[in-house]
Amino acid sequence: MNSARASWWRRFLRQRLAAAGGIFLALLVVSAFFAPLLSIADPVQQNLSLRFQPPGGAHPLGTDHLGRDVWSRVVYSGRISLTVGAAAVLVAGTVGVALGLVSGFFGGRVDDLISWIATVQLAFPFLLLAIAVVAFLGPGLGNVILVLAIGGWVGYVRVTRAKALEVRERSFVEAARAAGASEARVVTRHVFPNVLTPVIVLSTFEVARAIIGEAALSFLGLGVGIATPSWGGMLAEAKDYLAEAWWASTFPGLAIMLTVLSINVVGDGLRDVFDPRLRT
Amino acid sequence: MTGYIGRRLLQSVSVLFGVSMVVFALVHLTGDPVRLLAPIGTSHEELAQLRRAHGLDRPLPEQYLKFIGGVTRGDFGKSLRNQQPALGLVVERLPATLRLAAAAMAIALIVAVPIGILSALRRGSIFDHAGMVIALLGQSMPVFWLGVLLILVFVVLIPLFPAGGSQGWQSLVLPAITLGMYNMARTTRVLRSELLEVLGQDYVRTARAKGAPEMRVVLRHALRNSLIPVVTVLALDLAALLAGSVITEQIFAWPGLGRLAVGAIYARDYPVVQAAVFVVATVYVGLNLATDILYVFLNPQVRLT
Repeated sequence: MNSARASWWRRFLRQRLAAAGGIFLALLVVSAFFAPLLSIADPVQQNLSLRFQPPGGAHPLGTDHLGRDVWSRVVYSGRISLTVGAAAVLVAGTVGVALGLVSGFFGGRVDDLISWIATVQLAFPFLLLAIAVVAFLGPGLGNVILVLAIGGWVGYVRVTRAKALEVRERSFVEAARAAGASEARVVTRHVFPNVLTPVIVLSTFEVARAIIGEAALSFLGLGVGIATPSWGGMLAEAKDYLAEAWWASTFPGLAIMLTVLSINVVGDGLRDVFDPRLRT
Repeated sequence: MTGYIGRRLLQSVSVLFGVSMVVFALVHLTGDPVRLLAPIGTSHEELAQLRRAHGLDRPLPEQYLKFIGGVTRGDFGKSLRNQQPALGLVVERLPATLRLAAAAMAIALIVAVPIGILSALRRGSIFDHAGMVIALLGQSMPVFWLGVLLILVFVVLIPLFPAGGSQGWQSLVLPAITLGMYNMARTTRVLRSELLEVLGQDYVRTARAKGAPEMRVVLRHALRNSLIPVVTVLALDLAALLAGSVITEQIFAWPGLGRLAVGAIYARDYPVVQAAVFVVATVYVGLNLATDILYVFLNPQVRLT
């Protein structure tokens, strides 16, 4: 096979993967939305006479150590993962892009201060800091989102700052200034649209990171709370019963992995489309 | 050169200063740290007494100065659980975590380097596709699920390895694979794409045109150059592994820093939490500095800004 065709095949495969990932994510969003219709049992309803039922029959993915239906729990957990992923990225992205624009466009003391805070933030072992903060603040959806947003804003500052520095020197910015546009107008109308593309690509990967972060915190018992089903929490409970019920840990684990994998291939695909120079 | 190193050194100290502020603030997140010290039902008088005894009645800036004074002497206070110096407890656990991180990195490199090279050389082959699919899976696999899955397969179904503890090399295998998987996947992808880029460069074509054997072209010319980005991030990878071992240590009951820190967090043993977070951040900053300095030596073209 000649190399031109080989790279064409690669690209084809890559985009097909991205498409497959996109379809999976769409199904996930739909299933999270219609969780009450798709579930076959109350996800928190315990029934000890039905514990450790293997997959099949009335319970397609089996039941856990408390007799709860694994399929229903997996479907409901998707709501938590998607909510946390979207909310954490929205908060981190808004704060990060705003600070990055200010930092890159205006420079000077403000830039030094923001860059210093970002470097300090990066020095922290993220998960350890997240565990400590949630442990001191207490578990819960809001606190988890807050902690994950704290861990995510630096990436946006870096991307936005670099792009703003670059755009600042371009002639259309100079032209806008010469035409009498205010600084605020130059930033919002001329610089901001140019940082959007890398920010969108970064956001896909950040959603994946936030979803893993939430699952990790829930796995350690510091997530959204034990009463709410979540993939990480399901894994944490099921790991003590591996010999009795492999399905109770395997399906939530598979759900996290497929979700993260789908987001990653969609992100790769978006990057290829937006910025072909970065194609690997 | 000396000026650059001096500036980077100063910068590192200023970052550690910021780290110390956050570590200090951590304890005050809950409001009143004295509530972490006292058992539930302690009277108001006793609480006030405890507050005085620990200097928690002083203004915050004064408390911070006292804290940072202790930090510079390596004094984070005593563990609330067993009254031993907090820093000593943390340093005692560091070797176990280092051993785990080093093993994880070794496994990652042993697997990633050959797969990365072969994938680049046989670009577009079944082997390349398989390698990339595995790398993609590896990068998307959360450590906590991989750990649970490995226990399920290699402890429960096929009892080859112990489920936890730190007795002998057997107990190191599963945690090291768990921790190293992400790095393995990423290194494979980075090496493959770097190698592909280098293989298309003029000097590689020249070497081939001179009639150099393919083996020599790949090993001497291409690989050496494509390894630069891999090698320069190794130190940072190691730092990331140290910090990332928290969950792996938790799953496999590995007696390292992460497990100590999580235990201390649950027990609200804040001097130990502060010492652990500060030590890991310091190691990260130190390795970062070392990488930057090393990079200047390895690549004289780098602009010293």
